[in-house]
This record gives sequence, structure tokens and C-alpha cells, in this order.
Amino acid sequence: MASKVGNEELLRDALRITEEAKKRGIVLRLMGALAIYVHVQDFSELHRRLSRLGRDGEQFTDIDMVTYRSQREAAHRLFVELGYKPDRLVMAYFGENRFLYDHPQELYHIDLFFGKLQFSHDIDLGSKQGEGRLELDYPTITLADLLLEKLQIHEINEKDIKDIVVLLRAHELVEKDIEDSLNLERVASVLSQDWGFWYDAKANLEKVAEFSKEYFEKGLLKKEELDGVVLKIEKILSHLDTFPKTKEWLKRAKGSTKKKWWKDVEELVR
Amino acid sequence: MRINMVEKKPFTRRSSGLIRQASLLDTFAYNVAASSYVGTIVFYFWTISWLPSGNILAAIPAVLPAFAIALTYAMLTATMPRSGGDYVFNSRILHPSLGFAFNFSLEFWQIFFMGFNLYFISFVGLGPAVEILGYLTANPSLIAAGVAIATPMNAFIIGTVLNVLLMVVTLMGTKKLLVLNNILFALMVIGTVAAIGVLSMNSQASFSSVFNSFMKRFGGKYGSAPDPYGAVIKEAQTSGYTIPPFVFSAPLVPLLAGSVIWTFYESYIAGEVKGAESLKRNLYSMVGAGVFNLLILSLLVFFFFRTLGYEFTASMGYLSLANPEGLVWAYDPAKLGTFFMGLIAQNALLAAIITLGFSIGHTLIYQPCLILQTIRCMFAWSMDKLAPEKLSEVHPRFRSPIYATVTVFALTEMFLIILMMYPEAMMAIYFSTIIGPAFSSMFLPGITAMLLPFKKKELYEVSPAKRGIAGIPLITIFGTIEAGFILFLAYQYAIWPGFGVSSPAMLFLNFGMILVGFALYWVIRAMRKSQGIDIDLAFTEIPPV
Repeated sequence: MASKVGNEELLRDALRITEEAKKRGIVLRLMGALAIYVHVQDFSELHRRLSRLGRDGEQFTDIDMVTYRSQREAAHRLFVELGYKPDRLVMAYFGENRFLYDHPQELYHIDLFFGKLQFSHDIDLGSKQGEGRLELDYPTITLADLLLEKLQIHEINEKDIKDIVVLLRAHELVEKDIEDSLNLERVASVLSQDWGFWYDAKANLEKVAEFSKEYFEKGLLKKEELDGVVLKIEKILSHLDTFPKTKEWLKRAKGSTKKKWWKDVEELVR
Repeated sequence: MRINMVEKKPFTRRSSGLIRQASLLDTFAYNVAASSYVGTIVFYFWTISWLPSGNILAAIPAVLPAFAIALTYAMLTATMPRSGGDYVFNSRILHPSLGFAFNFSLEFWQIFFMGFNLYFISFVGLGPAVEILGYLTANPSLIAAGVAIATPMNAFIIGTVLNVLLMVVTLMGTKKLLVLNNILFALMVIGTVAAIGVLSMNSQASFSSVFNSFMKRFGGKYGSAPDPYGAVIKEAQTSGYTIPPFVFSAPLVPLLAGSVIWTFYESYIAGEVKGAESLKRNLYSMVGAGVFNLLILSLLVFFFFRTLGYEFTASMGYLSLANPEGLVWAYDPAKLGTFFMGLIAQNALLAAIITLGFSIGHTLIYQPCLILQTIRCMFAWSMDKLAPEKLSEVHPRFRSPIYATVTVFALTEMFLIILMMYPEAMMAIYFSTIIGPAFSSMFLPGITAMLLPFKKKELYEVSPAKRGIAGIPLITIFGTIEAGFILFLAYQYAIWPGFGVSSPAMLFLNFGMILVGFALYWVIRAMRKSQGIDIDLAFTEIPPV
């Protein structure tokens, strides 16, 4: 369901919350599509061309944020004091991993995650202030974690594919956490520990390459944009192949796809 | 290495997805636990002194209609995969006053049972388990400890400690409580499978030999008899007991049904169950749990009768109630099952495994199911404004409805205190009020299921439960069978004085809470109206999650 406010207003609210959190010493970061949008402002024209944004494009549906488990209560107080209404059902049933808040006028909702993102595959961002990865960027999680967040999706949708296209187009691949660059080592290090995640991530990257070609054929991507994205995907895939794997990864790889390799992600409302 | 893209087509997704916590295995174990088959063995010893016949296995065909309950709940849960079970179905499909009235009655009794189970564990679980281990290892201290455990004050203390521990686990989150349930389930199954193994490997002759040598040492007046096994049967007959024929009779049905009828409990946590909107999944976990329970119980009972002997079993049940003199360890029929299973093991470790399984299987195993069920229902009432808003307040640290949780545990403790003060009166109420909660949670959902396709056509049309035979919706057929079966059980409870329901006071206790709940609904509704709140609006839609 789309939010009832525009993308810019949604972004303004999200940034206001992260700013307020910063003042209170809460490590709160944006994630998801809105976080990617923050990082690709210079490429908003591409985003729009892909019909991901804009009047005729798709709106962001909600705000996704993450904080450490140790700051759960402080973050909750922040949202309540800002007028957001906690969803008691979600807190009671799924509060271990997330809380959900409705905008005071129910214009959109905010998903607040804690430390570990648990979807089709897990991404651990740390559990305590000063010991995790959230401090590495602001106001979003790092670009590498944003990419991982998209790559973990077992049943990826076209909006996610477009987000990855723009994310890759807009950033250089590097080998450590540097501002506005995508840390390839972090991506490879996470995927080398979890065979199922690695398998889905590779399949998703290949889908992105295929769809990029399709977008090019439809005139939605320029040649240099297509080449840039495909080249980066090849570089990531090649790095993933050569990166040393953990024992768990190697053990699970023997089971291949005969065993289920992802967790089922369901709709909140079904 | 490159992977071929299996499918190029992307998927659609409406919002940030989530991983629900309760898996198929979790819910299967949860449903098995809610209808634990060990209870049937315990109740058998309680009732055999008055039952008109004793072959409980002959009641299996008559119990098969009970599967309509699991079938109906599986269908209703797939239609409304929300936490709250019968309360949600009945209040949304029939009428909120009925939904609340029946669920209020259920919750009252469930909290009573929670207190009772915690109290009972010392008498039928821990006490006899320690005692039998004492006998098997010839350790008088253990025997004394087993006897001491089974006193009202110690039962209260042990119950209170367990109550507090369970509250702590509950506050740690649903998943933790489900893990605990899985552990209890595993211990119960291991214990009972071991018991089946031991029973199957012993003949009646070998059992009577074990029993006789045991009685020579500890059997009081029977110890001096040349054949204590035969002396027990003879003593029962001399005391005026006529062993009932080993055939079918109607009151055996409620006894056996106890192992099948409650396997729908996951519907109370359906909002947290993976894939609860899938009918097939729900059939596996609910009907599957009933099949599992019936199968294990049948094996257990079959070998129990074969190895212990029916006449001996019946005589022991009678003597432990009517004339336990000389049977120093058999003063309570509820502990006989645990006792014999441990005895026949003839090995302390194996006996410990078996008695632990049995101890858990009739007491502690029910707690996680009852805890989650009562908290979820109170939470649902509060969300619908039928209970104080505090009950649905969720504490950010505990991520759980803390006031509902504390309320449930405080009420459980209150019943524990009453049990300690008035144990005999409470025991009588417990054994006489089994049908009350069963009726509260099963009769109305039967009617609801029966009427769903006609009262809520739009909902039924998009439901996975939309299936029929010769134009008749299956859910209507199963709902009718469910309601009919529960009426049959209620009738059996009412006409056999041994079930203890036939007095007007017991009838009121069993069914009066429904009337109390009904009256409460209208009072609360009027109060809310005076506060400017129209609670009817909440019932026009199903809860969002």
C-alpha cells in the first residue's frame, strides 16, 4: 500500500526522526528503498526514468529504520514522543525483531528493526552501540548493507531490481567502508558465511543484469549505464567466487538446493 | 561458477515482509501438548471404579467424529489467520456477545487449570516419580522425599516456583515459550515411547513377577500373600468391586476423546504461525496432532492392558480410591500410571526417563499452551475494548503484553493458593469441570463453522476452506459434527454421576461462566457507550494481524 504523502515529504520526516535520534544519542538509521533514494540523489533522473519515482512512477510505501536492540526502549520513547502510534499487535507478536508505528494522521507507517535484519536471509548489523555497523554511515545504513538488504530477498520484485540498478550505477565498488562507496568486502564476507544467502544473492544479481538489458532495449537505460551496471555485477560475482568460504558455507553447499535454503517471508497482513 | 537464472519473472510484494515465529513443528508439538494423551491414562485409573465397561480401545471408532473439531478449526484458522482462536471466529461471524461469553468461560477455566496443573505436578508427577525411583533404588530418603513432595504446602511451593519461572520465560517472548514447549513435548514422547517399548518387551507373567517381588518388600499386607498380583484382584472383589466387562460403553468416549479434541490450540496464536492461512498446513498440524495422540495412546493402552492385565489394572484403580490400605504407594489413582510405568522399567535410569515423561505429560506440558492462549485472548478482548486497555499495552523491553501476562500469572497464583487451602474441594471441582471448557471452546465454533458460508458469504468465497460435497460446504458438515459430538460428550458427563457433573451446582460451574460472560459483555458495551465508544465497530472487521 502506498503512503499518503509524497516521496520528498516522507524523506523529510525520516530525516527529521534520524536527526532527533542523533540528538538523543540513539543510533537510528534509515534502510530500504528510501535509504537508497538518499544515496542516489544525483541519479534521481535515472530513478525516475525507470518509473521507480515521480508522478507516474511508484511511491515509497513506508519508512524502514533500524537501531540496536540495546536502544530499543529509547527509540520507542522517541517515536511515541514524536506522536507516532505504536502498533500493539505487531509489538506483541513480532516485537523481538521489529516494532511498527503509524503516522499520527495515519499517512504512512514506520517499521523499526533491531540489530539483526531477519528476512529470507539474515543480515547482522550488531546489537550494541559502538560494536555494530550502524555508526559507519549516516543517516542510512552502509551502501553494502543496503545492497545486501536487497540481495537477501528470495522472491525479489521489480522495484527491488530497479533499486539495485540505481544503487550500482551511482556507486563505485571499493574494498572497505568508505563514504558513498560500496564495500565489496563486506558483501562477500557476509555471503561467504551463508550458502543460501550467497545462492539467492547471485541469482538476484543475474536477474538485475538481465533486467538491465531489458531496460536498455526499452530505452530506459542508456548504453553506458547498462555497461556500468553489468560490469559491476560481473565484478561482484567474480569476487564472490574467489572469496574464501567458511566451513558452514562449504558444508551447506553440499546439500545444494535439495534442501530449502531460505526462510519464508510473509506479508504482515494476510 | 555461475548459476542459471531459474525464473526471470519478479514477484510482487506489498510491504516489508516478516518471518513468523511458530513453525509447523512448533505448532504440531503445541497441539499434541494441548491434548496430551497421558491425561487419558491418569483419568482411566480415576474412573475405572465406576465405568460400566473398561476397554478404552473399543471406543476408538466412536471417537473418530472428534476429528471434526480439528478439521473445523483448521478451516476457520485458514479463513481468519489471527491470534485469538474461537473468540475471533465467533465474535466476527456469529455475534460478539456470544464470542466473548464462551471465550470468557474458557479463559476462566483455563486459568483455573493452570493453577491446578502446577499444583497437581507434585501429586501425579514429581512426587510419584521420586517415590518410584526411591523404591527402585531401595533408597528410603528418596521414598520419603517423594511422599513429602505430594503434600499441599510443598505442592504450593513447587507450583509457585514453576509459576514464576514460566512467567519469566513468557516475558522472554513467544519463541522461547515454544522452545520450552518443544522440550517438554520431546521429554513426554521419549518417556512414553520408552514406556511402550518396556511394556511391549514384558509379558504379563514377567510383570506379575516384578510386581510380586516389589510387593514382598514394600506391599504391606499384600507382601505376605504368596501371589500379591492375584491378591490385589481378589481383594478388590472381596471389597465389593465387580470388574466391568472388557467391552465398549459410551462413557469411555469422553475419556478417550480427551486425547484428540484439544489439538486446535495453535489457532489462539495463529497470527504468529507461519503459513496459518494454508488449510493444508493447518490440517497437518491440527489433525496430524490428533492422529499422533490417538496412535501413541492406543499403543500405550494396548500394551498396558496386555502386560499389566485388565483385571489387575481395574482392581488397582478401584482399590486406590476405595480401599488403599496395604498399598502404601497407591493412595491416589492419579499416580498409578506413573508408578507402574516406572516399576516395570526395572532400571533406575529408564524409570527416570519414563516417569519424567509421564510426570510432564499430565501437568507441565499443558502450561505453555494455556499461558499463550489465555494471554492472547485477554489481549484480543482488550484490543476490542472489552477489557481494560492496559491488558493490551506492550512493554518495549519485554515486547509482550506485560499487564495481560502478569494478570494471567497472578490469577494462576490465586488458584494455587485456593488449592492449597481447600485441596479436596478443588480436586472435586477439577475432575467435574472438564466438560465446561471443552463445551466453551468447541460447541460454538461448530455452530460458527456451520453457518460461515451463509452468514459471511464474501469471507467464505475467498477462504481456503471453500470446499464442498454435493453442494454442501464441508465446513458446514464438519461444524455440525463438531457441535453434535460436543453435545454428546456433555450428555455423557451429565448422565454419569461418576463424572461429577450431575448436581445443579456442578452444572452451573461448568456452564454458568458462559452466562456470566454474556452478561459482562452487555454491561461492558453499555459502559463503553457511556464513554462515547462504540465497541460494535471493532467486530465489523477481523483483527489486522
